[in-house]
Amino acid sequence: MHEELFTVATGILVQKDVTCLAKKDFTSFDLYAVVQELKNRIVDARVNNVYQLDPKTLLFKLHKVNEPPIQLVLEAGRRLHLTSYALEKPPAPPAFCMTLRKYLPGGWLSGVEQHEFERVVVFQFRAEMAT
Amino acid sequence: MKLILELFGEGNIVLTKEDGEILQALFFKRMRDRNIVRKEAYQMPPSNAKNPFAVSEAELEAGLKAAGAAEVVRALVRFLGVGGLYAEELLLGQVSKNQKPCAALTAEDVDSVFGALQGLLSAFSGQTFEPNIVLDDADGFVNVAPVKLKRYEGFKQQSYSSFNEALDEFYVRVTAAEKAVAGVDVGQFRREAERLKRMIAEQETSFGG
Repeated sequence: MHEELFTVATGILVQKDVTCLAKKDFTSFDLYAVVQELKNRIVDARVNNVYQLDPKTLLFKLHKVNEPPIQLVLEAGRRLHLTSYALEKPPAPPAFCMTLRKYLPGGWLSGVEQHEFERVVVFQFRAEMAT
Repeated sequence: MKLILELFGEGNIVLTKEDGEILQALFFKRMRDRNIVRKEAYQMPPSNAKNPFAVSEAELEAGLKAAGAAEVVRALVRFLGVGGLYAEELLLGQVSKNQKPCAALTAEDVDSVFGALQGLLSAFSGQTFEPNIVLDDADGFVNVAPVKLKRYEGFKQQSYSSFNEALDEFYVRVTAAEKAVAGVDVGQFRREAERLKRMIAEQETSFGG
C-alpha cells in the first residue's frame, strides 16, 4: 500500500527513498564523532543568528574570520550536524527562538562537549547578558 | 550561557545561565527523576550505563553476569548505553555469545567482547573515522555511520570526507522524503483512482456495446 502510494504521489525518487523513512537512531557513537569534528569547526565562531525551522529544529548561523559562513542544525531527539544546504526559514520566529535571539547573537561559541557518553551535548557561549 | 541538546527520547533543547538556571526550553516538563522548569537548575538525565571508554574488562564481566538470563546483546545495550546497532556490532561473528544468556558467559567470551569493544573504540579515540552512507540495491539510504561497520559488509557504501557531511546528505534526503510523504493526501488519490476506474469501466462498456 505504501509503496503504491509513494509511486503515485511523489514519483520514483521518493519510492527509492522509502528505506530512509526507517528511523535512524542518533547513537552515542554518532554524537561522539560529530562533536569531535565540531570542536575544530565551530569553537570560537561568532553567532550571527539563530532560526527555528520547526517545533524541534534550530539552525545556527556562525562565522569565523577568513572562513565561509557555518550553518549548524540541532534537532531535538534526532540529529546534530553542519549543513551546506539553504534550509527554509519561517517568516516569524517562535517564542523559544526569540529568547535565543535575545541572548546569543553577537556572542561567541566557546565550547561543545558531549556529556559523558550520553546523547546530550552542551554548547557553551560567551555572550553578553541582555538587561 | 549554555545550550543543551538532548537527543534521547522525544528530545529537548534547553537554554541555561552559566550556573545552570533554566531560562527557556523547547519543552517544559516535570518528570519522575528531574524537571525542566524555568528558573530551576538544569539536571542531566540519570543514567545507569557505563561509559565504554572508561569501563574495565572486570566491570564488563560483572555487569554482563549481573544481567542473568538476559540476552547478551540486550545486556550490552543496557550496561554500556551504546544502542542496538553497536551492541550487535560487538557480537558479530560471535553468534553463540549472542544467543547465550549472560549468566552462561565464560571469561573467554567476555574477553572477546571486550576486545571487540576496544577495537571499535580505537577508531573513535584515534579519530580515524571513515564516514559513509550505507545504500541498498536501489540506492536508497539505509544508514549513516562514522566508521565502517561489519554489519554493512556487502552493502554499497558512499564515503564522505567528514561525518558532518555524511549526516548532512543523509538527513536532507530523509527529511525531503518525509515531507513529501507527509504531504500526500491519501483520500485525494483514492478518489482519483476510483474516478479513473469508473471512466475505464464506462469506456469498456461503450466499446463492448
